[in-house]
Amino acid sequence: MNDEQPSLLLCFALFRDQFGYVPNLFVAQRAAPHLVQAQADLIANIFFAAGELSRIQKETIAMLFAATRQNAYCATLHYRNLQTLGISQEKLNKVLEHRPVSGSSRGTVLLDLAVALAGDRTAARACVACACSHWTAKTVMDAVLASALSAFFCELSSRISHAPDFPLLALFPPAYVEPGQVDTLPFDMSTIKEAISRVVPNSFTNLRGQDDESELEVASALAFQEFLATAQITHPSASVSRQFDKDVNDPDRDLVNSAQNGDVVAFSQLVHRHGRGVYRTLIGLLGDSDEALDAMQDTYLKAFQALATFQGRSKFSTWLLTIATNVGLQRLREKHPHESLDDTPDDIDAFRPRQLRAWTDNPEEWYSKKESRQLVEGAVRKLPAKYRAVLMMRDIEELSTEDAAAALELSIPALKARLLRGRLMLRETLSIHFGKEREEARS
Amino acid sequence: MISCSDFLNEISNYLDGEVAADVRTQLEAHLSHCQTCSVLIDSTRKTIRIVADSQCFDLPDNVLGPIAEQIISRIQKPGYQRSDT
Repeated sequence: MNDEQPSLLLCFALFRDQFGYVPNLFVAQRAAPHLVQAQADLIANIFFAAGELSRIQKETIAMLFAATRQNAYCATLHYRNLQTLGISQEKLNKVLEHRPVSGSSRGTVLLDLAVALAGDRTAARACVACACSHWTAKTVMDAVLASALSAFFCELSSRISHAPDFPLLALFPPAYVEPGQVDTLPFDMSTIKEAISRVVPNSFTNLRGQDDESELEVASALAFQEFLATAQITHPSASVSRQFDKDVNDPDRDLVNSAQNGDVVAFSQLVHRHGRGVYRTLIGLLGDSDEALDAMQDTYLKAFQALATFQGRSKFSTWLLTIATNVGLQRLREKHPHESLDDTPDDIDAFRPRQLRAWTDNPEEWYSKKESRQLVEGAVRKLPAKYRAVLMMRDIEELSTEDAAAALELSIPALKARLLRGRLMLRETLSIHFGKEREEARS
Repeated sequence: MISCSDFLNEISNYLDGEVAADVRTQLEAHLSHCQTCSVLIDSTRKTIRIVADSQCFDLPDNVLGPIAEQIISRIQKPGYQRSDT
């Protein structure tokens, strides 16, 4: 038994936990032990890591990608996972039937992207650009990475072609997307580099450097890189893969390690790096700048005291925002007991829409950046704390529903209800400034 | 057939892509003939976009810098202890 066996067994344990007992897959995988570690790392860094998209969203994208590629084994594997995660068969079947149409909404554009990435490259580039008009670049990156991981699995699965471990889904013929014309994509390089360094583990980037690299390993690694290239993303392994340290899924890892060893300069860098997110989270809870700045100091002092307990199970930034939320909630209860975040009955009239005039087509062009920011800040400050906190986390910090609910200790339905009310109240305030009649009055 | 009130309750989930396919079909059928809800969903979508793009509550460097210095100086004060030390 060579020294890789224990880690291989750990990888198989992870596959068994995630995919159920799949003996044929295990046997086939033993032909490529380096890939097994890479798969386990990629699953952990893409599917499990906290990111812009939830685990369910990422796995849904991976399932649709595999289905579009007509890879029944991989599609079924994700289908079974999603069922285990509580998604109904009816909903999953609908996703499998998804076909891109023009004028996609925010909710479906990431599914369009998965279909396009699995099919037509020209359409994929247009879809990436379209997705970026609805979602942040980081979110779209998460969708591209979930698709890239699916591409990797599909390539691997088709090459090792083992007997299936379960009955396979019947898949419909692949969908096609109308190609679009896009010259440049709205990603900035720092977002791309951050996303890739966050998810691509050493075991994967080193695959191509193995002395005994096999055709299978190289082809599978290339499948992953090829799909990052689809979105015009340069994989860092081409030039800097040897520079990666042990584990790069948290960009703060080195600084946190140094700070844990008492390096105050490293901790100072973490304060600068995350200060804005901590401040926004606290403004969301407390509504007042001075109080938020004061609570920010408390947050970092508590974080420093508790650093030894941080074991890297979540990203450092998520851990820090949870501390900030606890500090903010405690202050709110002490200083503003009337601003309770508890689930008190709502005054339904408070969020019933009254402004029902159509908005101008391009409201962003109507005010300068500074004016828009002031309008939004004024409107957000007017919200009751329980709506403001949720809205800040979801629509400004762009945390996932699950992460925001966990930080605020709310159930997911309660979080969604508050988000709806916060958005409607904000819409009501902003309607005064963006209604069409203002446009007509100005012209 | 869903009402405007039902539609209102689902706006946020609809915009986040978090409604079941059958509910989505019903919401879109309602939208096709209800001008009020069309205005409501358009303006809510734009609200979310404006808020996300607003860079609101940004902390300028000239505020963050001194706050960071205060935090570090408090950590370095004699007697300040980490829980593991």
